[in-house]
Amino acid sequence: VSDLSLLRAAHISDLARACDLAYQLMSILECEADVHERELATIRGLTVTLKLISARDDDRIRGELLEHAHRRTLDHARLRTATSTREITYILLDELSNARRFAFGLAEISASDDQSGEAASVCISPLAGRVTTVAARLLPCAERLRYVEEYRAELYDLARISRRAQWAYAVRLLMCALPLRRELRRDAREAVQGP
Amino acid sequence: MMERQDFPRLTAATVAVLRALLEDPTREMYGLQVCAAAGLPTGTVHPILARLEKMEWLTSEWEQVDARTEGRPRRRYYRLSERGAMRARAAVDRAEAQVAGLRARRAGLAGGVA
Repeated sequence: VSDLSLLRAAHISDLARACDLAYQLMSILECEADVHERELATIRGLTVTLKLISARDDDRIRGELLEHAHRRTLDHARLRTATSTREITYILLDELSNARRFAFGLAEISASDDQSGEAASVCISPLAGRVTTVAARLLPCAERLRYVEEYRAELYDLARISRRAQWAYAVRLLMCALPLRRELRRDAREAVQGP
Repeated sequence: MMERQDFPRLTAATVAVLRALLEDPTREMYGLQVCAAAGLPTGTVHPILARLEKMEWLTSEWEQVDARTEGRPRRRYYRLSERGAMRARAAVDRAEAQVAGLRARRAGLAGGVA
């Protein structure tokens, strides 16, 4: 049990270092004079999401650690922890870079908002399209078509940025599908009164 | 008590969305624009928008374009209603007052300890 505690502590410390690295990257990004304040706010929002993702990974890794501990292969578990921490760091780096691209992409969308007739080459990810459809199918029948169209319009805009932006959007829609379903099914009177 | 019942759950995300919409209450924004203005990740604002729309703080309508002519799907635009703008302003003010109160209490506690 004490070995496990030590292992968890080491792992948490590694995750903290990964988060520190993410924050350092954030401050580097913030130093860039040409980054608009609103874009930075978007990046911050995405960083919070990334922290949630890393927290979920933390749970997965902890589960793996426990399994290894039970098999009395603590050395192997330590190795896996280090590898996973590195993986999380790479994911954070990758996602931060993606977040930055996304923020600039959004700025471009805003700039070209009125130029709706533009002939930009747009490629909607089939996977993201399917996931958004699934997210819409979880909603009440009466609202389904509306949200299918609304999601498709937003996905179309994100398709001008990157596939990853589309996937992230689709996954978040799926995660928010049940809260949205609850809101849509709630009686208007109840909504006013709150839960 | 009645006043309290007219307010939604004021999560940080809800306050961020209301603040973004209040920047220009007459402006119509679609989901991605709301996310960008509120500093929230894409795809996370629809439950909040749905709740505010049910409470009639927001109105929404389809973009008046022909999808085939434009070559893209129509967007759903949201805007604060007149009543919603007043309520939203009050809700944001209240949330900010609560945060300021908490900060003052924390500062007081820190001062007391020091």
